[in-house]
Amino acid sequence: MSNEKKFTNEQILQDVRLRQQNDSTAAHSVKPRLKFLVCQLNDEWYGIDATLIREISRIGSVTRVPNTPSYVLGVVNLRGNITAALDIREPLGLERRPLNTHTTARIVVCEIEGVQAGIVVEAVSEVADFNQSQIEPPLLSLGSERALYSSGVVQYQNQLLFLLNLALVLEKLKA
Amino acid sequence: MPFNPGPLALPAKKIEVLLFKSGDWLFGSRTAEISGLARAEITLLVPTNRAAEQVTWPPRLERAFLGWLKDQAVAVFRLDSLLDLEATEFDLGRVILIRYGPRTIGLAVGQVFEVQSVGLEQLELLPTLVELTLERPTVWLLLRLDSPLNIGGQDTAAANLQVGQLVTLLDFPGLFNSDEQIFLTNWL
Repeated sequence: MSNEKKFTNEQILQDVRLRQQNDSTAAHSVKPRLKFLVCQLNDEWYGIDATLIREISRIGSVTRVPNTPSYVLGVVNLRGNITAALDIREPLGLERRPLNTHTTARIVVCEIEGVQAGIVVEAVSEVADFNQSQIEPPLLSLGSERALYSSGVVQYQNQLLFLLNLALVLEKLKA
Repeated sequence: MPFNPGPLALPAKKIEVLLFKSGDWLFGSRTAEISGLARAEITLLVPTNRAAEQVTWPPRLERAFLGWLKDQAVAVFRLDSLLDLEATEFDLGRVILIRYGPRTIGLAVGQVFEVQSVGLEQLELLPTLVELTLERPTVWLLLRLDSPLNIGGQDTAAANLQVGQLVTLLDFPGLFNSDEQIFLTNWL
């Protein structure tokens, strides 16, 4: 009882307010986990921000378009949705090898800043989620293109997963 | 109860499209853009006597030029070369004749198929990213097939088109840049 009298009501009120404020700040400081589609380009694994993805589909019939750069494979009709099929390996500084279009290869349709693009990948694995704290800045030793177009790298099943900054990749392709 | 005839059924708008191949590329073009077709034995085209010419040809046109058809009235160019495609092997080809300004120009292609009548609802715009990356405005629209199409008869492997398949429709004037346009109009 005696201890209790050392604090005025106002002091207790302030203390409760402060504690609640701290709790609220702490709750907001918990970073949401970020989801990425893990997919393969040549022998490396890349992550595509899952919030950008509209559809993942088999590649099917690609209609080539003349007078386009080599990374534009052509156009595809995905149930009435006409989309550009892009091979981004070359802009990323990767070797251009034949794709297993009849087996593992997929087209990942993304929408970035209102523009739709079908990214052709060798294979897709799963949607993985990571804490912000797990993501490290891209290593310059990755090579200039990959470092430039990665928003970060993360350890994934004992390998490095490069998180693609698709907005930057498309910006380069459009330029 | 009064008779209600419902909305008037207007005839669907249609255009005619000629389908043709250059190498293994399948293209289409509005027949309204084409003034005729000619069968030409490419080896019999008359070459130009370059030594007698007073003008320098634009390099791309010079590369694509095959020869003259019909007593030098029509210059024939390889379509594959104008589109920067791999070279088509053909000795006996078909020549699509187009009007270009005051002249008629021939575009040599591999095979020409029958004319298709297509509804405007089957035409699709190029996706934004493709349109933005086009090096020249050679592509007009895409044709989306609403029913299977077997063109060319015996050449079934290359000419069986499935529902939903897209065909690139070319815009012939877009084949040429401004220098080439001036040359074609004034010098050729």
